Amino acid sequence: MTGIFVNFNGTSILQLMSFFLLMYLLIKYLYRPFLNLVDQRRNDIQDEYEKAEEARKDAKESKKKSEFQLQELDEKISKMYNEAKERVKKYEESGKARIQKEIESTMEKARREIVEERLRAEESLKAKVVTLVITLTSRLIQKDLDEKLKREFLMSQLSKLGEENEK
Amino acid sequence: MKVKFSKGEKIFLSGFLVVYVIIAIWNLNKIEFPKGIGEVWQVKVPLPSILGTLNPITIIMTAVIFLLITYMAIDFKRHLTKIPSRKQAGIETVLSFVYELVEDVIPVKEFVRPTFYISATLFLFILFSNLLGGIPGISFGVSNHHLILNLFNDTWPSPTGDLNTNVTYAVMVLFISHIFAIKLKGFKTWMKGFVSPNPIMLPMNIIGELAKPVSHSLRLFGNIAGGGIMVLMLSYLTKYTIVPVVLWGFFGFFVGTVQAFVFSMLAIAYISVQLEQ
Repeated sequence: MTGIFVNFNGTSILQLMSFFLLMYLLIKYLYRPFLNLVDQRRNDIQDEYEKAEEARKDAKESKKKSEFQLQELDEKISKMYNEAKERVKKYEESGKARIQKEIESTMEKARREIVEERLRAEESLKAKVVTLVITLTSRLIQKDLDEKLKREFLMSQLSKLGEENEK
Repeated sequence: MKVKFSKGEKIFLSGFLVVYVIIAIWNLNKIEFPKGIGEVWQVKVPLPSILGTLNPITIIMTAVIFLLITYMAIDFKRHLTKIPSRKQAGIETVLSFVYELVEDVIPVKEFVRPTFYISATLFLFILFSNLLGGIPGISFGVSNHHLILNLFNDTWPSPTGDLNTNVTYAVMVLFISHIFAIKLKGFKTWMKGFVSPNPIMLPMNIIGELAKPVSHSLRLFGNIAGGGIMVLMLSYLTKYTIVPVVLWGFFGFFVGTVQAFVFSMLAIAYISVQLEQ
Protein backbone atom coordinates (compact mmCIF):
# COMPACT_ATOMS: atom_id res chain seq x y z
CA MET A 1 0.00 0.00 0.00
CA THR A 2 1.31 3.42 -0.85
CA GLY A 3 0.45 6.81 0.44
CA ILE A 4 1.39 10.35 -0.37
CA PHE A 5 4.58 11.83 0.93
CA VAL A 6 3.00 14.22 3.42
CA ASN A 7 0.73 12.20 5.65
CA PHE A 8 -0.50 12.03 9.16
CA ASN A 9 -1.67 8.72 10.57
CA GLY A 10 -1.28 6.20 13.37
CA THR A 11 2.50 6.40 13.27
CA SER A 12 2.29 9.57 15.32
CA ILE A 13 0.82 7.68 18.28
CA LEU A 14 3.69 5.21 18.17
CA GLN A 15 6.15 8.08 17.92
CA LEU A 16 4.65 9.75 20.96
CA MET A 17 4.80 6.51 22.94
CA SER A 18 8.34 5.82 21.86
CA PHE A 19 9.33 9.36 22.82
CA PHE A 20 8.03 9.02 26.36
CA LEU A 21 9.52 5.56 26.72
CA LEU A 22 12.84 6.89 25.48
CA MET A 23 12.62 9.84 27.85
CA TYR A 24 11.91 7.52 30.77
CA LEU A 25 14.87 5.30 29.92
CA LEU A 26 17.18 8.25 29.37
CA ILE A 27 16.15 9.86 32.64
CA LYS A 28 16.92 6.60 34.38
CA TYR A 29 20.20 5.80 32.67
CA LEU A 30 21.57 9.08 31.36
CA TYR A 31 20.19 12.28 32.85
CA ARG A 32 19.95 11.42 36.54
CA PRO A 33 23.43 9.84 36.72
CA PHE A 34 24.81 12.74 34.70
CA LEU A 35 23.26 15.44 36.89
CA ASN A 36 24.18 13.61 40.08
CA LEU A 37 27.71 13.23 38.83
CA VAL A 38 27.95 16.90 37.97
CA ASP A 39 26.61 17.90 41.40
CA GLN A 40 28.95 15.50 43.14
CA ARG A 41 31.86 16.73 41.12
CA ARG A 42 31.01 20.33 41.93
CA ASN A 43 30.79 19.56 45.65
CA ASP A 44 34.04 17.63 45.57
CA ILE A 45 35.80 20.44 43.78
CA GLN A 46 34.44 22.96 46.27
CA ASP A 47 35.62 20.82 49.19
CA GLU A 48 39.01 20.40 47.63
CA TYR A 49 39.20 24.11 46.98
CA GLU A 50 38.36 24.93 50.58
CA LYS A 51 40.91 22.42 51.80
CA ALA A 52 43.50 23.88 49.50
CA GLU A 53 42.67 27.37 50.77
CA GLU A 54 43.12 26.25 54.37
CA ALA A 55 46.34 24.50 53.55
CA ARG A 56 47.56 27.65 51.84
CA LYS A 57 46.72 29.71 54.91
CA ASP A 58 48.55 27.24 57.16
CA ALA A 59 51.50 27.28 54.86
CA LYS A 60 51.57 31.07 54.95
CA GLU A 61 51.52 31.11 58.74
CA SER A 62 54.21 28.52 59.06
CA LYS A 63 56.25 30.40 56.51
CA LYS A 64 55.96 33.55 58.57
CA LYS A 65 56.93 31.62 61.69
CA SER A 66 59.88 30.01 60.06
CA GLU A 67 61.00 33.33 58.64
CA PHE A 68 60.85 34.85 62.11
CA GLN A 69 62.84 31.95 63.51
CA LEU A 70 65.32 32.25 60.72
CA GLN A 71 65.79 35.92 61.51
CA GLU A 72 66.37 35.14 65.16
CA LEU A 73 68.86 32.51 64.24
CA ASP A 74 70.61 34.93 61.93
CA GLU A 75 70.86 37.47 64.71
CA LYS A 76 72.23 34.85 67.08
CA ILE A 77 74.77 33.69 64.57
CA SER A 78 75.95 37.22 63.87
CA LYS A 79 76.22 37.90 67.58
CA MET A 80 78.25 34.78 68.15
CA TYR A 81 80.42 35.59 65.21
CA ASN A 82 81.16 39.04 66.55
CA GLU A 83 81.94 37.65 69.98
CA ALA A 84 84.25 35.09 68.49
CA LYS A 85 85.95 37.79 66.48
CA GLU A 86 86.49 39.92 69.55
CA ARG A 87 87.79 36.99 71.52
CA VAL A 88 90.22 36.14 68.77
CA LYS A 89 91.34 39.75 68.66
CA LYS A 90 91.88 39.81 72.41
CA TYR A 91 93.69 36.55 72.33
CA GLU A 92 95.92 37.75 69.53
CA GLU A 93 96.69 40.98 71.37
CA SER A 94 97.48 39.21 74.61
CA GLY A 95 99.67 36.74 72.80
CA LYS A 96 101.54 39.53 71.11
CA ALA A 97 102.09 41.30 74.41
CA ARG A 98 103.30 38.12 76.09
CA ILE A 99 105.71 37.36 73.27
CA GLN A 100 106.99 40.93 73.42
CA LYS A 101 107.50 40.59 77.12
CA GLU A 102 109.29 37.30 76.73
CA ILE A 103 111.50 38.74 74.07
CA GLU A 104 112.27 41.70 76.20
CA SER A 105 112.99 39.61 79.27
CA THR A 106 115.25 37.24 77.34
CA MET A 107 117.06 40.24 75.85
CA GLU A 108 117.49 41.71 79.27
CA LYS A 109 118.78 38.41 80.57
CA ALA A 110 121.15 38.04 77.68
CA ARG A 111 122.44 41.58 78.14
CA ARG A 112 122.99 40.99 81.82
CA GLU A 113 124.83 37.77 81.12
CA ILE A 114 127.00 39.49 78.59
CA VAL A 115 127.93 42.17 81.08
CA GLU A 116 128.66 39.60 83.74
CA GLU A 117 130.73 37.58 81.35
CA ARG A 118 132.70 40.61 80.38
CA LEU A 119 133.32 41.47 83.97
CA ARG A 120 134.37 37.95 84.73
CA ALA A 121 136.67 37.88 81.71
CA GLU A 122 138.22 41.18 82.65
CA GLU A 123 138.80 39.95 86.14
CA SER A 124 140.35 36.72 84.95
CA LEU A 125 142.49 38.69 82.50
CA LYS A 126 143.61 40.99 85.24
CA ALA A 127 144.51 38.01 87.39
CA LYS A 128 146.40 36.39 84.50
CA VAL A 129 148.27 39.59 83.74
CA VAL A 130 149.20 40.03 87.36
CA THR A 131 150.45 36.50 87.66
CA LEU A 132 152.29 36.89 84.36
CA VAL A 133 153.93 40.08 85.48
CA ILE A 134 154.83 38.48 88.76
CA THR A 135 156.30 35.43 87.07
CA LEU A 136 158.13 37.62 84.53
CA THR A 137 159.60 39.82 87.11
CA SER A 138 160.54 36.84 89.19
CA ARG A 139 162.17 35.21 86.18
CA LEU A 140 163.87 38.48 85.34
CA ILE A 141 165.20 38.62 88.73
CA GLN A 142 166.07 34.98 88.83
CA LYS A 143 167.63 34.52 85.46
CA ASP A 144 170.73 36.37 84.59
CA LEU A 145 170.18 37.63 81.14
CA ASP A 146 171.53 40.42 79.10
CA GLU A 147 169.38 43.35 78.30
CA LYS A 148 168.76 42.31 74.72
CA LEU A 149 167.52 38.94 75.65
CA LYS A 150 165.54 40.39 78.44
CA ARG A 151 163.79 42.75 76.03
CA GLU A 152 163.16 40.12 73.32
CA PHE A 153 161.80 37.71 75.79
CA LEU A 154 159.61 40.37 77.32
CA MET A 155 158.31 41.50 73.90
CA SER A 156 157.48 37.97 72.80
CA GLN A 157 155.71 37.30 75.99
CA LEU A 158 153.78 40.53 75.73
CA SER A 159 152.75 39.82 72.12
CA LYS A 160 151.47 36.41 73.15
CA LEU A 161 149.56 38.05 75.87
CA GLY A 162 148.11 40.48 73.39
CA GLU A 163 147.01 37.67 71.07
CA GLU A 164 145.37 35.89 73.92
CA ASN A 165 143.60 38.99 74.95
CA GLU A 166 142.39 39.54 71.42
CA LYS A 167 140.99 36.07 71.36
CA MET B 1 31.25 29.70 12.23
CA LYS B 2 33.98 30.31 9.70
CA VAL B 3 34.76 27.63 7.17
CA LYS B 4 38.23 27.85 5.73
CA PHE B 5 39.43 25.72 2.86
CA SER B 6 43.04 25.10 2.06
CA LYS B 7 44.32 25.39 -1.49
CA GLY B 8 44.15 21.65 -2.15
CA GLU B 9 40.61 21.43 -0.85
CA LYS B 10 39.53 24.34 -3.05
CA ILE B 11 41.03 22.65 -6.11
CA PHE B 12 39.37 19.35 -5.23
CA LEU B 13 35.96 20.91 -4.63
CA SER B 14 35.99 23.03 -7.77
CA GLY B 15 37.21 20.06 -9.84
CA PHE B 16 34.47 17.91 -8.35
CA LEU B 17 31.84 20.50 -9.20
CA VAL B 18 33.08 20.93 -12.78
CA VAL B 19 33.14 17.18 -13.44
CA TYR B 20 29.73 16.83 -11.82
CA VAL B 21 28.17 19.58 -13.92
CA ILE B 22 29.68 18.21 -17.14
CA ILE B 23 28.34 14.71 -16.49
CA ALA B 24 24.96 16.09 -15.42
CA ILE B 25 24.58 18.12 -18.61
CA TRP B 26 25.69 15.16 -20.69
CA ASN B 27 23.08 12.94 -19.04
CA LEU B 28 20.33 15.52 -19.07
CA ASN B 29 18.23 14.00 -21.86
CA LYS B 30 18.63 10.41 -20.79
CA ILE B 31 17.66 10.76 -17.13
CA GLU B 32 14.70 8.91 -15.74
CA PHE B 33 13.87 10.24 -12.35
CA PRO B 34 12.59 7.65 -9.91
CA LYS B 35 8.83 7.37 -9.98
CA GLY B 36 8.41 6.59 -6.34
CA ILE B 37 9.40 10.00 -5.11
CA GLY B 38 6.52 11.65 -3.33
CA GLU B 39 5.09 8.31 -2.27
CA VAL B 40 5.80 6.28 0.82
CA TRP B 41 5.23 2.71 1.84
CA GLN B 42 2.27 2.35 4.18
CA VAL B 43 0.72 -0.61 5.91
CA LYS B 44 -2.81 -0.91 7.16
CA VAL B 45 -3.11 -2.54 10.53
CA PRO B 46 -5.32 -5.61 10.03
CA LEU B 47 -6.78 -5.60 13.52
CA PRO B 48 -9.24 -2.84 14.42
CA SER B 49 -7.32 -0.29 16.49
CA ILE B 50 -6.74 3.43 16.81
CA LEU B 51 -3.54 3.13 14.80
CA GLY B 52 -5.12 2.78 11.37
CA THR B 53 -2.35 2.99 8.79
CA LEU B 54 1.34 3.02 9.64
CA ASN B 55 4.61 4.05 7.99
CA PRO B 56 6.82 0.98 8.57
CA ILE B 57 10.12 2.64 7.61
CA THR B 58 9.64 5.41 10.14
CA ILE B 59 8.75 2.91 12.84
CA ILE B 60 11.75 0.67 12.08
CA MET B 61 14.19 3.57 12.02
CA THR B 62 12.71 4.99 15.21
CA ALA B 63 13.20 1.62 16.86
CA VAL B 64 16.80 1.45 15.65
CA ILE B 65 17.58 4.93 16.96
CA PHE B 66 15.72 4.14 20.16
CA LEU B 67 17.90 1.08 20.72
CA LEU B 68 21.04 2.99 19.76
CA ILE B 69 20.40 5.81 22.23
CA THR B 70 19.31 3.43 24.97
CA TYR B 71 22.44 1.35 24.49
CA MET B 72 24.51 4.52 24.66
CA ALA B 73 22.78 5.60 27.85
CA ILE B 74 23.20 2.21 29.55
CA ASP B 75 26.83 2.13 28.47
CA PHE B 76 27.23 5.63 29.88
CA LYS B 77 25.82 4.61 33.24
CA ARG B 78 27.85 1.43 33.41
CA HIS B 79 31.18 3.13 32.81
CA LEU B 80 30.44 6.20 34.88
CA THR B 81 33.55 7.59 36.58
CA LYS B 82 34.38 10.85 38.24
CA ILE B 83 37.33 11.36 35.95
CA PRO B 84 35.66 10.91 32.57
CA SER B 85 36.81 8.72 29.73
CA ARG B 86 36.73 10.09 26.21
CA LYS B 87 33.27 8.73 25.43
CA GLN B 88 31.84 9.96 28.72
CA ALA B 89 33.35 13.39 28.22
CA GLY B 90 31.73 13.66 24.79
CA ILE B 91 28.28 12.76 26.09
CA GLU B 92 28.76 15.05 29.07
CA THR B 93 29.68 17.93 26.78
CA VAL B 94 26.47 17.52 24.75
CA LEU B 95 24.29 17.15 27.84
CA SER B 96 25.87 20.05 29.71
CA PHE B 97 25.46 22.18 26.57
CA VAL B 98 21.72 21.49 26.58
CA TYR B 99 21.50 21.87 30.35
CA GLU B 100 23.16 25.27 30.34
CA LEU B 101 20.82 26.39 27.58
CA VAL B 102 17.82 25.31 29.65
CA GLU B 103 19.21 26.84 32.83
CA ASP B 104 19.74 30.18 31.12
CA VAL B 105 16.34 30.36 29.47
CA ILE B 106 13.91 28.82 31.98
CA PRO B 107 13.02 31.40 34.64
CA VAL B 108 11.56 28.97 37.23
CA LYS B 109 14.04 26.72 38.92
CA GLU B 110 11.75 23.76 39.57
CA PHE B 111 10.97 23.43 35.87
CA VAL B 112 14.59 23.36 34.78
CA ARG B 113 14.98 19.62 35.18
CA PRO B 114 11.78 18.50 33.41
CA THR B 115 12.48 20.90 30.56
CA PHE B 116 16.00 19.57 30.37
CA TYR B 117 14.70 16.01 30.17
CA ILE B 118 12.32 16.87 27.33
CA SER B 119 14.65 19.07 25.32
CA ALA B 120 17.66 16.77 25.70
CA THR B 121 15.63 13.75 24.61
CA LEU B 122 14.34 15.71 21.63
CA PHE B 123 17.83 16.87 20.78
CA LEU B 124 19.40 13.43 21.02
CA PHE B 125 16.65 11.68 19.05
CA ILE B 126 16.52 14.28 16.28
CA LEU B 127 20.28 14.55 16.13
CA PHE B 128 20.72 10.80 15.73
CA SER B 129 17.98 10.49 13.15
CA ASN B 130 19.32 13.45 11.16
CA LEU B 131 22.86 12.13 11.25
CA LEU B 132 21.61 8.84 9.82
CA GLY B 133 20.34 10.94 6.91
CA GLY B 134 23.96 11.66 5.98
CA ILE B 135 25.12 8.06 5.81
CA PRO B 136 24.43 5.81 2.81
CA GLY B 137 22.16 2.96 3.72
CA ILE B 138 19.24 0.71 2.91
CA SER B 139 15.77 2.04 2.37
CA PHE B 140 12.48 0.96 0.84
CA GLY B 141 10.88 2.94 -1.92
CA VAL B 142 7.59 2.53 -3.74
CA SER B 143 7.07 2.53 -7.48
CA ASN B 144 3.82 1.69 -9.23
CA HIS B 145 2.48 0.12 -6.06
CA HIS B 146 5.50 -2.15 -5.84
CA LEU B 147 8.09 -2.14 -3.13
CA ILE B 148 11.65 -1.31 -4.21
CA LEU B 149 14.70 -2.04 -2.11
CA ASN B 150 17.29 0.72 -2.37
CA LEU B 151 20.74 -0.60 -1.49
CA PHE B 152 23.18 2.17 -0.66
CA ASN B 153 22.04 4.49 -3.44
CA ASP B 154 20.40 6.73 -0.91
CA THR B 155 20.99 7.63 2.72
CA TRP B 156 19.23 5.93 5.59
CA PRO B 157 15.67 7.23 5.81
CA SER B 158 15.43 9.35 8.91
CA PRO B 159 12.29 9.40 11.06
CA THR B 160 12.38 13.19 11.09
CA GLY B 161 11.78 13.11 7.34
CA ASP B 162 8.28 11.88 8.15
CA LEU B 163 5.75 14.52 9.11
CA ASN B 164 4.21 12.21 11.75
CA THR B 165 7.26 12.46 13.97
CA ASN B 166 7.65 16.21 13.70
CA VAL B 167 4.01 17.12 14.17
CA THR B 168 3.76 14.78 17.15
CA TYR B 169 6.76 16.29 18.83
CA ALA B 170 5.74 19.87 18.09
CA VAL B 171 2.22 19.36 19.42
CA MET B 172 3.61 17.55 22.41
CA VAL B 173 5.90 20.49 23.18
CA LEU B 174 2.90 22.84 22.92
CA PHE B 175 0.86 20.71 25.31
CA ILE B 176 3.74 20.35 27.75
CA SER B 177 4.38 24.09 27.78
CA HIS B 178 0.73 24.77 28.61
CA ILE B 179 0.65 22.04 31.26
CA PHE B 180 3.70 23.62 32.89
CA ALA B 181 2.04 27.03 32.71
CA ILE B 182 -1.12 25.72 34.39
CA LYS B 183 0.98 24.03 37.05
CA LEU B 184 2.92 27.20 37.77
CA LYS B 185 0.25 29.90 37.50
CA GLY B 186 -2.98 28.10 38.17
CA PHE B 187 -5.84 27.63 35.74
CA LYS B 188 -7.38 31.11 36.08
CA THR B 189 -4.20 33.05 35.52
CA TRP B 190 -3.38 30.82 32.57
CA MET B 191 -6.79 31.52 31.02
CA LYS B 192 -6.28 35.24 31.59
CA GLY B 193 -3.16 35.00 29.46
CA PHE B 194 -5.34 34.41 26.40
CA VAL B 195 -7.43 37.56 26.89
CA SER B 196 -4.55 39.85 27.74
CA PRO B 197 -3.98 42.65 27.10
CA ASN B 198 -7.51 42.88 25.67
CA PRO B 199 -10.35 40.39 25.08
CA ILE B 200 -10.23 41.37 21.41
CA MET B 201 -6.86 39.67 21.21
CA LEU B 202 -8.32 36.24 22.05
CA PRO B 203 -8.45 34.90 18.46
CA MET B 204 -5.00 36.31 17.78
CA ASN B 205 -3.60 34.57 20.79
CA ILE B 206 -5.21 31.26 19.85
CA ILE B 207 -3.95 31.52 16.27
CA GLY B 208 -0.51 32.37 17.58
CA GLU B 209 -0.50 29.29 19.78
CA LEU B 210 -1.68 27.08 16.94
CA ALA B 211 0.90 28.51 14.55
CA LYS B 212 3.69 27.48 16.89
CA PRO B 213 3.56 23.70 16.29
CA VAL B 214 2.94 24.20 12.57
CA SER B 215 6.09 26.24 12.04
CA HIS B 216 7.96 24.14 14.57
CA SER B 217 7.23 20.86 12.83
CA LEU B 218 7.33 22.00 9.21
CA ARG B 219 10.74 23.63 9.65
CA LEU B 220 12.36 20.33 10.58
CA PHE B 221 10.32 18.29 8.13
CA GLY B 222 11.10 20.57 5.20
CA ASN B 223 14.78 20.64 5.90
CA ILE B 224 15.25 16.91 6.30
CA ALA B 225 12.79 15.58 3.73
CA GLY B 226 13.63 18.28 1.19
CA GLY B 227 17.35 17.72 1.68
CA GLY B 228 16.87 13.99 1.19
CA ILE B 229 14.90 14.42 -2.05
CA MET B 230 17.35 16.97 -3.37
CA VAL B 231 20.31 14.72 -2.74
CA LEU B 232 18.49 11.85 -4.42
CA MET B 233 17.75 14.00 -7.48
CA LEU B 234 21.34 15.18 -7.68
CA SER B 235 22.51 11.57 -7.49
CA TYR B 236 20.19 10.61 -10.35
CA LEU B 237 21.48 13.53 -12.45
CA THR B 238 24.78 11.75 -12.86
CA LYS B 239 23.31 8.24 -12.66
CA TYR B 240 25.55 7.56 -9.68
CA THR B 241 28.74 7.89 -11.72
CA ILE B 242 29.61 10.61 -9.28
CA VAL B 243 28.01 10.49 -5.88
CA PRO B 244 27.60 13.92 -4.29
CA VAL B 245 29.13 12.89 -1.01
CA VAL B 246 29.71 16.52 -0.13
CA LEU B 247 25.99 17.23 -0.36
CA TRP B 248 25.12 14.14 1.65
CA GLY B 249 27.49 15.36 4.30
CA PHE B 250 26.07 18.87 4.13
CA PHE B 251 22.43 17.85 4.44
CA GLY B 252 23.03 14.99 6.82
CA PHE B 253 25.55 16.38 9.22
CA PHE B 254 25.53 20.15 8.98
CA VAL B 255 21.84 20.86 8.37
CA GLY B 256 20.89 17.89 10.55
CA THR B 257 22.84 19.13 13.55
CA VAL B 258 21.64 22.68 13.13
CA GLN B 259 18.00 21.61 12.79
CA ALA B 260 18.22 19.32 15.82
CA PHE B 261 19.61 22.23 17.82
CA VAL B 262 16.96 24.60 16.48
CA PHE B 263 14.13 22.20 17.25
CA SER B 264 15.16 21.61 20.87
CA MET B 265 16.02 25.30 21.31
CA LEU B 266 12.55 26.29 20.10
CA ALA B 267 10.99 23.74 22.43
CA ILE B 268 12.84 25.34 25.34
CA ALA B 269 11.83 28.80 24.16
CA TYR B 270 8.13 27.88 23.87
CA ILE B 271 8.15 26.38 27.35
CA SER B 272 9.97 29.38 28.82
CA VAL B 273 7.53 31.81 27.16
CA GLN B 274 4.66 30.04 28.91
CA LEU B 275 6.51 30.05 32.24
CA GLU B 276 7.14 33.78 32.25
CA GLN B 277 4.97 35.69 34.70
